[in-house]
Amino acid sequence: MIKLFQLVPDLYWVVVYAFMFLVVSTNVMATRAEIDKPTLEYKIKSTYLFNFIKYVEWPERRLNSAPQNSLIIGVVGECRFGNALNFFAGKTVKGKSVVIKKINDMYKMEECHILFFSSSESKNIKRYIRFLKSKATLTIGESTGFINQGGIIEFVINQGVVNFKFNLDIAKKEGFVVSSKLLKIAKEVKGK
Amino acid sequence: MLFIKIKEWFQRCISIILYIVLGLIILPTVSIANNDDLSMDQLADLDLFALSNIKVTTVSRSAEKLSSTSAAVYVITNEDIRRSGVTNIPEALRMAPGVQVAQLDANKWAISIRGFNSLFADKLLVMIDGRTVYNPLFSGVYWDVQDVLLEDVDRIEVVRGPGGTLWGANAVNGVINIITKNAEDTQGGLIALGGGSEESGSSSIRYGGRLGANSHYRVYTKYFDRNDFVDVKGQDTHDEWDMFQSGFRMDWNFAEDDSLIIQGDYYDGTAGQNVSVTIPTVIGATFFPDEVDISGGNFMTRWEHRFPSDSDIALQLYYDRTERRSTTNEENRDTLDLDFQYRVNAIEQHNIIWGLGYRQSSKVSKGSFTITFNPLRRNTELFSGFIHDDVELIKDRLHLIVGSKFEHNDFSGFEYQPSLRLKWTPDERRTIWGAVSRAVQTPSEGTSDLRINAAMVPVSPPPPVILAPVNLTGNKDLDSQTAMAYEIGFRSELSDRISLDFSFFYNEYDDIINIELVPGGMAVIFDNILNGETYGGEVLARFKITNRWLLTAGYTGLQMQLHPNSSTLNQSIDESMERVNPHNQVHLRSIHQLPHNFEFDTMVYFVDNIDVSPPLMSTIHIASYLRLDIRLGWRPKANLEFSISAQNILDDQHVEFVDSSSSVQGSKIERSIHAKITWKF
Repeated sequence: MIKLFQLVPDLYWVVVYAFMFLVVSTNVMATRAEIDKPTLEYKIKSTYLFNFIKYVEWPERRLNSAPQNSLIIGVVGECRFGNALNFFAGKTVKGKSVVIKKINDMYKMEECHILFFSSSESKNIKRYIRFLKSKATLTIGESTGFINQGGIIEFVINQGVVNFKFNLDIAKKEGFVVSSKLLKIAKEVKGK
Repeated sequence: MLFIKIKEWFQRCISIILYIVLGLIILPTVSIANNDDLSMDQLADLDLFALSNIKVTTVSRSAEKLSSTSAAVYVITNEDIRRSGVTNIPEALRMAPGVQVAQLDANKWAISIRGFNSLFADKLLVMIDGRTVYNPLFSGVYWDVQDVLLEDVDRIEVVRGPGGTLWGANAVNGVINIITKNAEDTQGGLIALGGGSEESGSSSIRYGGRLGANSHYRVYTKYFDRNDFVDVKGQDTHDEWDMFQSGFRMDWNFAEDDSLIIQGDYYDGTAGQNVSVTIPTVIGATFFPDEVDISGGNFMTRWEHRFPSDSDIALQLYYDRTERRSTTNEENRDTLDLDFQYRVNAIEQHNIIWGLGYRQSSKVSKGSFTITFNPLRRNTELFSGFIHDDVELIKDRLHLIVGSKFEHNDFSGFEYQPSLRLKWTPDERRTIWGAVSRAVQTPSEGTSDLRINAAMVPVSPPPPVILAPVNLTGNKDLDSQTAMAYEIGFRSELSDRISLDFSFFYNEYDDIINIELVPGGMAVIFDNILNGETYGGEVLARFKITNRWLLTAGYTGLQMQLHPNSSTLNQSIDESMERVNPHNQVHLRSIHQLPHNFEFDTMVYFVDNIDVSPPLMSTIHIASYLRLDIRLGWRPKANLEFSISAQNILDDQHVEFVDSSSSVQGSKIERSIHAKITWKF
């Protein structure tokens, strides 16, 4: 038994090198689709994004402004949804077909009904919000203080659970009608 | 021989670096199998309420919450513990930067923060769910009886630096707060079985259920059995250890704004040791194998009420019983503690917390010729109060935190421990903080009442030889030891993937209690004989290389400069204490999610050499060591986990610490391997 233990350090390096070989070979075989697998956190966040559509009413003209009867969800910044958000692409809600778009240009934001700002964009939030003022866009973020910067919904993680804060003041100003059920679930509502 | 060793080390270091560098290049693009339990189909069927109740665990988020605290804090999460493969709390503490963990034998650890390490390190306060587990008899923590079901631990908060302003005396250099989960979060059953070369067998069973709409409970029981280590000569050190523990917790939200926690534990076991026994007719002292019977229990209840004004109150009561029987001493202790706390959020920009506390501790000990106490029975009382105000000077940006603890104890009377902190948050990702605090270490039952006959020495030439004991006696006229601590820290999230945490400290100590020589050479006595400074810092970096791979690197640096008072006879004491803590410690952890639900986790620790000098004996040098632990886990299903972990892979055995009081013999810490299966239902 003692003899065996003396071998362990050498064995460890054998394992490490074998493991590295495994890593390299797996890498070669890797396919694009597998890289897109998201974490549970972003699966839940994408499900929220889709659900928000059901509980928020856009001003009538805003909803009909988009082409081909679609409802557009835009993602700004580093996208961690992988293929989770695409799960909802093409699904019909409120008679509209959901379209998912990756937004790299500020002027493309205008056509989106929902905009999600990744935490990688935390420095630019104020600028975006100023640009989106009075455009009836449901702004959703995940950086701390998002609703204090004028955003409408801020994802928070509290005790391991994904929840959100809601800025009702801004939502009302932008002309949204929000279901009380949504506000009940929100962790915090600003301007009740 | 030495050259070969160095060469081997060097090769290993190179390999580790190579491994990391290659990993850095290759892994970000690697395909990783999806491990999360819920598919998009399942999630899409859930309503909003169900969605808002799904637990996700993210390492970076808990760190984010930390990014705004104004102290050097590190949190060991439940996931950290699971991924480390450790089976007890002391070993888990190795993960926290700035903590010096040195194992003495199979069931004893010397654990300290920022210096002054010893088997009874007295400048560290340890709490489990708000219950202080610091033992006033030896002014230290008996780590062999501080256990919880590790699967039910929510987090271990490790605060480096003085915490006396909130927690009271003895939190001079740090606070360790072990917090278990709410019963609501531990619903269902859990069975964990393990076994290995050192921990020969362990089993844990927990079941959590619901008592009503707003009330949850859990009950658990665990047992483990550890083998003994060997001494320097390869002989068994009789430090085998077995322990049975059982307990419960109930969380009841009996009204919308009220919650009640009731919890309790009972434990019983034996911890072996080679204890130093002095026999009146034998020269010197002899190590004897000894079995220490350890048992005890505790009961805690806490009521919290929240007012509509966002203020809240909490009332907590606990009772703790410990029993400890060894060849040389027996101690039975009852502790009763009552705490009240009120948080007021009424004044704009001020968040004020104040509280009152009372603690009574009564012990009965039964000494022996080797060790005894005067008096053998003692009842001590502690009255305390604190006030703490967090002032928001500039909204979300600048905070000033002032506060003080006031207390009255039976040994040194009235004490105060103020602190002043400033926290600047230039943006969400950065925090810069600084603090000045005064902390107090009160004399303890040990330093006041202890009487040890350390060894017998001949006092006359033969024949006949007359033997007399060399003894260490307590001192009833001791002053408190005080510390002024100056700290600064900086925390930054450079990106979503990299975060850094720096903290630096300079502490000044006055009236440090240590061993004073008595003219004649046959006795030593506790006295306030030292002043000194410690300085150093801790650096922690986290790299989230991919969503599935996290690297953590930490460095701890520490220097101690001690100066004996001009009046003391023990002028060499400074040299014997300055080196009890390693000057440098480095740790590196890799937490890695592999394809097919495998997990591969590596921990590397480097601990610099130390010197321990038992009084009246020559210095013992303990060489630096490099320790490597690995764990391979496999979770074929969300509720089933297999794991194999190995500790101390790089050497057969090494010494980590020697008890400076020479009361117990140390062991060499051996390589060990451990397998575990965990099933949740």
